[in-house]
Amino acid sequence: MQPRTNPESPARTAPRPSDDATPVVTPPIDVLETDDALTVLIDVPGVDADSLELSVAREKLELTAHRRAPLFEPAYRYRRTFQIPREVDADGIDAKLEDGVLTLRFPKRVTPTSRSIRVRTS
Amino acid sequence: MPVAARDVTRALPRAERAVVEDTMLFSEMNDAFRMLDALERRLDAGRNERARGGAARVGLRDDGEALLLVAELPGVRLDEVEVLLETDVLTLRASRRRSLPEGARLVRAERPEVQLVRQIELPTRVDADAVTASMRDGVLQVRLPKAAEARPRRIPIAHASSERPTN
Repeated sequence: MQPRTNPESPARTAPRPSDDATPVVTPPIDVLETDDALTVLIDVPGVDADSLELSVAREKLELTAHRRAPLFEPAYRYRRTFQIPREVDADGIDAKLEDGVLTLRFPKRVTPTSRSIRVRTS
Repeated sequence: MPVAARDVTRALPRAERAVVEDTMLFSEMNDAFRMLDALERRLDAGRNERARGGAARVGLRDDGEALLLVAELPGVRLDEVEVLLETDVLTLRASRRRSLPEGARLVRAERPEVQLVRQIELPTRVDADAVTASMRDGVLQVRLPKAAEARPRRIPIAHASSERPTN
């Protein structure tokens, strides 16, 4: 299942209790780096794709997820925001939700390390 | 007269990986709320409980008909979870290790590595044959229906009339 990513505005699907009253929990993350990507893993147990909101606006990634919590009272939501570094391409985010872990993959931008500069001669 | 070309290569963004000591790769803007501790204290865990290791949250509830054990085990594979019931004691084991793909560098590690062993002495008798367990979205739920004699049953109250004996 792919959670919805919508630039500029979060996607809302199912109705949910008032956002103001619901307590907020900051989920823990791991960040892995390879030559071509930055990967973020986020623990969000009790969350399915319908209750996950991911939005990107101006180099900021915002995550909100309502937790299905019939036995833990009160119900709460996960919330975390990230500053997206310039090295990565926010448009190419890949998001995967599996077994209560959200994996976000940000491909790195391909930038030339150097370029030749032509010198004009008169 | 043409201006001498400046060396502009330094002004270009570096394609090599940003070093951690520069700034955090991700700087969170919202770190304020940590209700997790408060919620954990409010969890209705079994009274006689011994817990070791792991940061996974475990709670035990009684809904009248059954005991319900709920454990948050995100990313824990089914073959890394064990639920054992021996008479009155429920034992939960779960483990999760961080797996680093080859060539990957761990920049930030907040997610706990889980090595959970939790033994809970059940407050009521349960029907061992009717116990079920399921895992969904990283949440383990074990339902232990109470043994018939352990369920609350209404006791009818006989009406005793109190009449004054007449002389």
